[in-house]
Amino acid sequence: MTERNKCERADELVSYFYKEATNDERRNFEQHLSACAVCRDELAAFGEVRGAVREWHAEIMQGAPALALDAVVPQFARNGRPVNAPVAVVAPVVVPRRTAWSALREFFTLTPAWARFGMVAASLVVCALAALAVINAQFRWDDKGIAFGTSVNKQAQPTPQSATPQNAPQVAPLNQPQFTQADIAKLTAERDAEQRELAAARKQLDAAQQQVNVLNASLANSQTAYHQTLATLRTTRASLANSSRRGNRFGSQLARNPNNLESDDEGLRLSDLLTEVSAGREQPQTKRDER
Amino acid sequence: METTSDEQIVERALAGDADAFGEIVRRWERRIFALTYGILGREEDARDATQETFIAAFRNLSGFRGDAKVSSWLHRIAVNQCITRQRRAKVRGETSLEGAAEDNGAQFAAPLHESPARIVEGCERTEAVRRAVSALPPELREVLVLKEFEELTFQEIADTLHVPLSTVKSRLYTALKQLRLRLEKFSPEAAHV
Repeated sequence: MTERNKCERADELVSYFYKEATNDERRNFEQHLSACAVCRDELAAFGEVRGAVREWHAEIMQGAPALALDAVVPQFARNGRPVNAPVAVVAPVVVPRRTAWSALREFFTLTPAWARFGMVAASLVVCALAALAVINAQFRWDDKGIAFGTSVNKQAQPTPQSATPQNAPQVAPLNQPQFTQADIAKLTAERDAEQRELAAARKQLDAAQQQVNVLNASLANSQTAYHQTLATLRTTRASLANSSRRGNRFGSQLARNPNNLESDDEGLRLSDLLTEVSAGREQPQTKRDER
Repeated sequence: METTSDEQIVERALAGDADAFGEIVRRWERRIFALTYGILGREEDARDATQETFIAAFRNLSGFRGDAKVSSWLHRIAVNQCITRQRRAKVRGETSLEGAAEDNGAQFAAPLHESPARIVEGCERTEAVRRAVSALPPELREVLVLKEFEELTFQEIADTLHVPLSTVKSRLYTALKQLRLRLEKFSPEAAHV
């Protein structure tokens, strides 16, 4: 098959070919024909094609079967079926049993394109809404952005909410806060950090408790020592009081005989007094009393 | 010679003449059959489409406008029947007209006065034309058949198919061009007939 050149005056060629061009169009195109080999070639070829088609049409008309519909069609149109119709003329049309799928395809084929598009779009929207309803999808749009959550995971794993007693107040699902995976990870990290802080605080508390126990023990010892010291102090104070009274007598004696303190047998020696004060004993006094 | 016009017969049918519509059918059934056969390409389909055309015409007889031509009215009904059948066939995935050509190879009786060689030559030629026309897209086939079989004007074809006049011309040109190429393809000598 050879690639033929093309002329841009196809409409004029068709009008001229079928003799539907006006006189001016015909004359104008005939002038064009004298200079355009492409249109001359097509015109000749179209004439041959037309002759072949008409020959075929004549054969159809010559061999057309006698349908004899003139007596049948009116009755058929009235009654919905042919009356006394020859079987060969009006044979019942065998309609193959159609499946639901083929009927649907035929419906869509006979439907305008815009209606088909609309039905498909509506079906998709309905399916999407049904799917979202089944998975209980929820959208959230707040300061943190847009979040999308479903209840699929909640159904798969028991949640703390499901462990609540039956008589616990039920909260509407739509009012429950929905968390994203990132939110859950963040809350988990915060919980772990708080648990670590709590463990550290417990250790510090135990150490402080031990220190308190040590201080309490030390305080008890200190109180014991304090009471002992206080008792000793009282004893010493009493001794000092006695010594003071002796000192006064010794002074009086010294005033009477200042040159012979040591030689006086009746007089009290200073070294003995100091020994008594330090020891808290009253032996010199006893000795002196014995003397 | 038919002295009564189609429009007058329809008026009689509308007035209650029971036999009037039968006259219309007798006048037009062969032409309508040829038209539907040219578009559909199969005799059985053409029979059914012809019958359905007249049934639809009879049922809608009251809707016929007196200012219109009966021929245009029947052409429009027949073409619509063909378009509907083509769509249904496409939906059901039936074989194309070109593929089913062998079913209708030599159904119509050849003239007996022709010589056998001439008959064979003629049958091959018309069979090639039938195959070529059947292989055209439906929109081109409809325009070609209305023009070549019914010899409608461009404007009448445009009115029947509800398309612009320029579309009719462009479709006719394309149909003739494709037919030429297909005839060359089916039979190289057909292009030089």
